[in-house]
Amino acid sequence: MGRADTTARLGWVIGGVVAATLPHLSHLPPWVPLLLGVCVLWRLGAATRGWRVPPGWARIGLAFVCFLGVLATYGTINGLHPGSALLVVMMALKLLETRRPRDLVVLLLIAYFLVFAGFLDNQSLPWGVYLLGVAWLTTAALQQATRARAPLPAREALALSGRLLAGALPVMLILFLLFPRLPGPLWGFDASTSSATTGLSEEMSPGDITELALSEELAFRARFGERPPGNAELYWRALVLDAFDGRTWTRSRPRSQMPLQAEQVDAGGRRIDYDVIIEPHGRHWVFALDVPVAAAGAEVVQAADLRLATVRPVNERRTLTLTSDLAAAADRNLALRDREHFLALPDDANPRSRALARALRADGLDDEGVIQALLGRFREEPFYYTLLPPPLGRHPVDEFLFDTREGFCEHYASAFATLMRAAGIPARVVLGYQGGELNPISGYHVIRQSDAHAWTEVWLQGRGWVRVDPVAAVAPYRVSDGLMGALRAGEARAARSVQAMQWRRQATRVWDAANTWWNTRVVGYDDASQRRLLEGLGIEGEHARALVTLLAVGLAGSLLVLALVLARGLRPAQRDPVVIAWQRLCARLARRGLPRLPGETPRAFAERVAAARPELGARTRTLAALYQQLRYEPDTDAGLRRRFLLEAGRFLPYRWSRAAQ
Amino acid sequence: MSGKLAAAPATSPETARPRADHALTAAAILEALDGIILGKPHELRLALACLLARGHLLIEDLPGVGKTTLAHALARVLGLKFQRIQFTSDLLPADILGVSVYRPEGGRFEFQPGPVFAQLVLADEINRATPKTQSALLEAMEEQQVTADGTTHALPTPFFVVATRNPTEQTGTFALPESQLDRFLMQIRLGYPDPAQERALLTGTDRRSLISQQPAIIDPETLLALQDAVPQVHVSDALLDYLQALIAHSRESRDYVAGLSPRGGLGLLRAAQAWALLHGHRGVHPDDLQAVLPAVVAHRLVPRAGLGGDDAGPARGLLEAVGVP
Repeated sequence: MGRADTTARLGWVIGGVVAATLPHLSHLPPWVPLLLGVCVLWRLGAATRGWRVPPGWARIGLAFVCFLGVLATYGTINGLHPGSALLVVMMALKLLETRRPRDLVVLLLIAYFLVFAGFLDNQSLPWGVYLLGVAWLTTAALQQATRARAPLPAREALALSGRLLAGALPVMLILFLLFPRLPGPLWGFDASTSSATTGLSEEMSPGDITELALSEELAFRARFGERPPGNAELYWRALVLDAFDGRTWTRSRPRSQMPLQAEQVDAGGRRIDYDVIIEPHGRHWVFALDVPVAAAGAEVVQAADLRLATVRPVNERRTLTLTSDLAAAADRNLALRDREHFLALPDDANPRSRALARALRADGLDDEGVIQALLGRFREEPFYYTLLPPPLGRHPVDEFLFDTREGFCEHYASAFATLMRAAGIPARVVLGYQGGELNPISGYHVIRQSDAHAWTEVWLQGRGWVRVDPVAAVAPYRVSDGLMGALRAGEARAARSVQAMQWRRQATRVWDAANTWWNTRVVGYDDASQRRLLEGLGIEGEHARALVTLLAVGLAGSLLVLALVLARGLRPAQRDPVVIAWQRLCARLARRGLPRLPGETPRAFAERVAAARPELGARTRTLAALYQQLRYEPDTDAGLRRRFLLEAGRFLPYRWSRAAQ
Repeated sequence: MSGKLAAAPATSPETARPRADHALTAAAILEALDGIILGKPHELRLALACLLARGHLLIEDLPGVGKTTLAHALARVLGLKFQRIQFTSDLLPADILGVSVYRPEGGRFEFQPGPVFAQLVLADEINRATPKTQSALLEAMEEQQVTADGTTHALPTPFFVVATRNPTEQTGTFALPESQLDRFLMQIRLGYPDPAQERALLTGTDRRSLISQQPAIIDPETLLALQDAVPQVHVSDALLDYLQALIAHSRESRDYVAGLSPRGGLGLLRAAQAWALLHGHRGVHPDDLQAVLPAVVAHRLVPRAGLGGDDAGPARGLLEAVGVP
């Protein structure tokens, strides 16, 4: 093996090792990649410049120090991240003592393991694509490192390993589809890694939602059946805030934790079934259309304020099947004591607002009249819907209503609910998302953080809780067209980025559809999906057994096909009857415990047979001599050929050989 | 040894059949040789096959095991003009090839042929000479001619060199480079005789006088005819498959530093054909190929360090690894 060859092999292996380490950079302590870099350079220097690598005792010492380093960094060596760090460290040190191909193979096996760990860490589509590429590269490196002859040029090496992986594809698919799955997510075992941004918060004060308005991050997806409701009906309820201190709306406990009583909801007859796929947010919130009436599975509970909540925090992407009744009425018979709870206002805040509400009441308007009058006020007076509201002082509702008149949804919801309560109408604020974008490619609605919204619910005698969205009065397009439609012209900074967002939104629809497919069909493929697949194949009940059978049959089948393809490529079809007769003869002798060795000539084989079984000796010798004559000598006559075929056919017939056993 | 590997089986049916007397002639030659060199029938056949394939023979062994006797006996039995050149460290190329001598009577230089101008040349202990001298002999072997002072002098035919070398562990030797080793078709070892043969050797007539009494069995013309018959021996496609598989394995395997060269492969085929001729086969059998392979690859395949110490190692590994079709 030449030195250039050795260096080329080493280069491939280092490529694989580095590529497998890259996905872990974000969580590795900086000294680990640094160590790897130093070891890579050192090893390359050793290969090309003849640098000396550290002696054995130094490597052992270094390994111990690095182990302690990992232990000190993480406090443990258990878990995904410490484990990956340890693997990278081991790889770096192993690199320093690679001499034989076997050492390179060890390195590449660690690289494969890191690829696997990388996928446990993050299962998103781009990550998956990258890791697949790394697996390809690593396979090419493995092929180069263990190759008997000189390494191939890069393109050929990648093509060869590509063919190898393609050959493994059927087996991979069968294992993916049919290997029995455990209920529950396989990937989400490490909660600490998936605590994502939460989006909404548990309380609301002016300015909270504004921060979300520019975030393109995905909140959740939803899929309806045949006819999805219009955008104006897509109010995704997450939280209900019923306590107000003059500035901040919060949830009152324990009232908000109480479970829903069945008699609270009266069916309205517009039931709609849909799935929501919630991105991990680390809380219990579920996003459901008003009024949620049912959820499949025991995962989800419903509180008295109608919101749904999961039993376990949503730490991994979760799909829930929900039913809502868009026309249902809630709390028609609200107890007097409860009404008072929804009327509570602090005495020392927002005096002008309360005066306004009392003035309206004094005009003799009923509840509906008051609501219409206030909505009209929002519509007719110069209120602006803006992402850049001016800061508010001690009486935020007063200042917003009478001075600044510029605000975002939380300003309007807060102000409207305050006015309602001041006017003696029970009111509360609902936090959630409004709208969503239908991706025509995947058929899913995509709801982003920028769709976060706050609105108001008022309680009316005989009707129960009624949703009133004051933003719809000020900027009706916010509700029908989403945020873009509602923004006031001239909001330079915000608008520019919103425009860019709009453009990007179009461009990323395909990407989102691919992600949806990946998340639901690949990462989200679980025991339930497996059961559905089997039912699609007409296999009901007892599905574990069917799975194992299908798995075995599928694997055996695909391996058989692969073997046939390979065998055809390796060996040209043998058609000469003389050769076939000879091979059968050898097979019969092999069953008698006398297999022909690969490098044995027919004559040598016959001699060995004669030595072991003298009674077969003469005939075997004759047949071998005839065979060699027929096969290796020119223009042998047809008689000889016939004689050989006849004799070979009679030699050790099956009946005889069984009798001899 | 000219022509391509694939050209060998493309012979017409008339020439493909070796004449029966070829085998008989060969048998007579071998019988005579067996009478002189005791207990080495295989080595004798290899040497003869080597000669018939128009190759040159390298014998690597300790002094006194009968290398010279073998060469001398061959020359005697085949009726060849024999010359022995003892290689020493001060031997010069001109000592082998010849020199131009000034003839005062003619007033001009005249080429005085050296000892290489013989039909069978025994180059004894070739690795004692300097590389320059070694290379002079090997070039003459390869080109079948000697060029001195711009004039080319053809060497006689048939021309066969038997070179001997001491195992390189011995002091005072210059190892032959691999490129020059490749010019020898075969390398064999004679080894010590077994006790019975040793006894016969000790009690029997002196080999030297045996050789001197031995009449020539054939004349050089018959030998040339035999040599011409070798490339005509039939080679089947199955055998070519086997040969190519052997060559390919030698190149792909990790056991060898380098694989067989195309010249090595062609030599293997010719040697196998000569062996088949000697044994009266109408076509080359895998046994023929297997019989000559160890001698043909012995000096060509260098096992990778740490693998197989003995001489038969690389050849045996190769034969065991490649299946006979």
